[in-house]
Amino acid sequence: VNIPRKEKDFQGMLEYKKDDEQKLVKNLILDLKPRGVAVNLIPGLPAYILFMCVRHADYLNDDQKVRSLLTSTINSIKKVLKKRGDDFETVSFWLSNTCRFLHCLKQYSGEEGFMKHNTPRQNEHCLTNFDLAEYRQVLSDLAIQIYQQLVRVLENILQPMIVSGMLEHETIQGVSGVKPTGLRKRTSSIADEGTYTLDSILRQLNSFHSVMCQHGMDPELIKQVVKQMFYIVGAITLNNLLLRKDMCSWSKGMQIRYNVSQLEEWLRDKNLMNSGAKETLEPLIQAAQLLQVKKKTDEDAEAICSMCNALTTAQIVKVLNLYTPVNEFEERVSVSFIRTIQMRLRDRKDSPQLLMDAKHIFPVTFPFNPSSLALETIQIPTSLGLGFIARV
Amino acid sequence: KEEGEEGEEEEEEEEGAGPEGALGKNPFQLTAEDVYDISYVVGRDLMAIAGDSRDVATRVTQLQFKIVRVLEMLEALVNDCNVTVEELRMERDSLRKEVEGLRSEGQPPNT
Repeated sequence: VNIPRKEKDFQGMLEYKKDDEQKLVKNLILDLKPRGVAVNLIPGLPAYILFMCVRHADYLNDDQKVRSLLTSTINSIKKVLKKRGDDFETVSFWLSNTCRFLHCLKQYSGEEGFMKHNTPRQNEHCLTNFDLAEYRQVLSDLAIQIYQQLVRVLENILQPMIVSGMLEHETIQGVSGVKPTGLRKRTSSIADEGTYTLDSILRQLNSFHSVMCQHGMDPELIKQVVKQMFYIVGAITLNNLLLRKDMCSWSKGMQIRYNVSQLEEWLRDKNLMNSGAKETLEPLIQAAQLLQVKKKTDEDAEAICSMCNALTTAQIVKVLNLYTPVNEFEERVSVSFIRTIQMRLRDRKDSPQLLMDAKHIFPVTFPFNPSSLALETIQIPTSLGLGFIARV
Repeated sequence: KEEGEEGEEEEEEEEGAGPEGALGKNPFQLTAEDVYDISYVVGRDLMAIAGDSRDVATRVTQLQFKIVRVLEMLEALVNDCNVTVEELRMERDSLRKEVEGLRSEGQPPNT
């Protein structure tokens, strides 16, 4: 059985003894580090290996083996995420690999709709005995769960940086009229809070993005994660603006716009302008503009009403009420001006909502993303410790 | 003074360079993490070469698994080297302590 065949004869399947199944999922899932030579060089490798094992069980027409492997796979992924579910790298790694496994099950399902981009050789690799559509549904639900966990993890990391980096830290010198030390003092009661800057946020975004790229996460999925991250940044920043008097001034508007432009620059740099991430910042952008425009005449009021279409009336009125002039060139917003705005917006059918739901998660989708990788060329790197499985 | 400045520059470069930065490092300061970064960069470049051509893709994959093996070896060497250095350092420190201990016990008896 163990006579090695010539390279070209491999059919892209992997064989293991039933007794070795636990060892297989232990080495390939439970104990596998998200960073290593093999998984970094060939992103999605665990998913490909798992699928090649499924193929052989399908080839043997062994429904019990197929069922057992798929169940162990799903349970092991869940177990890893329970144990190390607060680690961004681990969660990102298993989100990428769960998606890749799902793509494989589709690409090689034998269903015509999924075979459009296959080579003739890849078509020969389709499953022949079992229809795994129900398992695909289970895996897709699992991927949704992992995605939500990923969002929670990145939210926990970003959250403490946002107010400090987007609002409190002065990125432009000399416009506020308030000495930076004054701000420091107010926040120094909570350790570290004053130390995050916009750069900290950008560095954190870079690190998230680079980890997902290294894991070979689907580009469409990366876009959704980035959109979700930008939403979190926008919502938390805006909510704080709406709760703090000292954040509603002309100079804060200036600073927010500058910070937002840096975030946009980041999107451009990473080629993510079509991710929908920028659009999630629109309410914050409009609030920043609102801080900067003139707020005196009827024309000003009209301009505000047409400009702030992503803010609710409650939010607009709140910002105007909180607005605090920082120097002698600015004036308070008069009560009558705010009345005018309220009158004008009366016909608008918008929600009475003041604060944004910072915990909101956009529903995720996993568009089919077939791979050009040829299964028959895959070898098992030594470092995975899978010497007991054989190429077929 | 010059050395200090260079050191600083290198650090800055590392921060900005991302995974590619590992290839610019002094081999004796390489860590396993750097080897993983190199893996990613090389893997990405290999995939780009494969492009749409089947024939090329197959040959690239064969090369890919050879590179995996080479990098696994590099990883082992880097890890082993770091462990050895650490062991030698501990050994040296304990010998040094022993010498100091013996010296403080006073003059050697024969002189």
